[in-house]
Amino acid sequence: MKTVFSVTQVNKYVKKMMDNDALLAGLFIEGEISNFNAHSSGHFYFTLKDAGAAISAVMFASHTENINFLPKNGLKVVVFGRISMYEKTGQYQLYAEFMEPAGIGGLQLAFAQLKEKLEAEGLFDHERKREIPRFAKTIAVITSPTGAAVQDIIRIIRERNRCVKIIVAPTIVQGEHAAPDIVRAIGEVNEHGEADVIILGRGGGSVEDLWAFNEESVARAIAASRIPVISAVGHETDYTIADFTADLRAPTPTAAAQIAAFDQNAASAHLRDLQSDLTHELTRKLRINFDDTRFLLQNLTRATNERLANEWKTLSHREALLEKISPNAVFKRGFALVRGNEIDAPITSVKSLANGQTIKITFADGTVSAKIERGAEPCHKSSKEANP
Amino acid sequence: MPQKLKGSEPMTFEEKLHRLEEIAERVEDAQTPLEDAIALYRDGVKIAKECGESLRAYEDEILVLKKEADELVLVPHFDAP
Repeated sequence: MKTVFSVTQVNKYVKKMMDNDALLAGLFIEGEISNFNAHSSGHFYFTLKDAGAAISAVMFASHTENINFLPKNGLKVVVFGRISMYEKTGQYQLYAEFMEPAGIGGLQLAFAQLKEKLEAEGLFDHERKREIPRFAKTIAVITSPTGAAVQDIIRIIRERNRCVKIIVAPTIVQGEHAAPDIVRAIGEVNEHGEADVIILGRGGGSVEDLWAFNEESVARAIAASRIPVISAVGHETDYTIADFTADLRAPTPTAAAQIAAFDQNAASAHLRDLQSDLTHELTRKLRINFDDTRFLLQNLTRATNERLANEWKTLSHREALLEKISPNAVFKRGFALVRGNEIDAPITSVKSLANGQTIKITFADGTVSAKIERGAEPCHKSSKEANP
Repeated sequence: MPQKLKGSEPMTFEEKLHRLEEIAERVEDAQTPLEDAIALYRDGVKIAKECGESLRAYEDEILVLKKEADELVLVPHFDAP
């Protein structure tokens, strides 16, 4: 007796078989995306194919937000998911849960995870960045001694500054030995201790080429460096863990050289400006002192002149007083001066005069000679003498 | 300003300016005998003259230094590699 099944029963059965299969429940498949369609519902529909086969795939909106790249046709990807059947059409398909670009995808995941970890530790914090010295005397360059980057860096430093000392610490910059070698070089430059700043970098390359600069050991060595580190890895668009950890990220090795070496001509010009300002300032200060001195001297001269004027005033006042008590004033009041003919001393008493003696009498306007006619008669008007 | 002993260190420029002020005040003061006032004035003119001379000397010095600065070639004395 033949058993007849319905289509639904068959599809249900096959789906059950598939869902019970351990391998199909979760596997990685590598293939190329085609017929990609990002549906308005948020689900991705696409076909995963290789040279000989194709499989339908769907990624539901709940999973699409976990991928950090935009899938597009032709892109090789590794998809993780399960294989099951869509009962309605009997079509089996891949229910994708995660996907990443094939090849570099794993690296990208590692990058994202390390970045998150170090960021959480605070290794990228702005507060722990050391200041890049403005006038470095010695610059250490940690890079490959044979690459173009080291030539560019030295050329740019020399263009800007003829005197700064350059120490090149040669390292391997790609491959599995690169990270430990870079760590060693950073340690050695710090131990040597002369450098004021470190340029750590290399020229452009593929993500794999630059990978050493995404290693945790390199990040930790940069963070531990006592000397400030400028990172300069690859091109402007390349970002590495080293860039996040460094004290400053330069977009390119040449840019790093420009930052590390100060421009000698510009510094000279600036110094000249400062000197000129200083001269100007000093001259101004001298002018002010000239003015002050002139003012003080004028003030002193004025004070002295005033003082002299006052003394003149006092003097003329005293002269007027003196005038009042001078002999002339006495003569004017009718008194006269009597002196002997031979001796100039004034005669103050009648006792010294005899009959016939010649005397000189001086008035306000002149002197005359006179003769005594009558001898001395003592004066008895004693009241005058008693009360002078 | 602390009073300086006569014959000790020479006065600074600022001390001299201060002294000029002081002298003017004393000359103005009627208590100061005239002979002293005139002697003070003589001192004051001498001090002002000294001040002017040192300022002119400084000015000359600045001119010379400025000329030297303009001719200066600035090269840092770092160790050349």
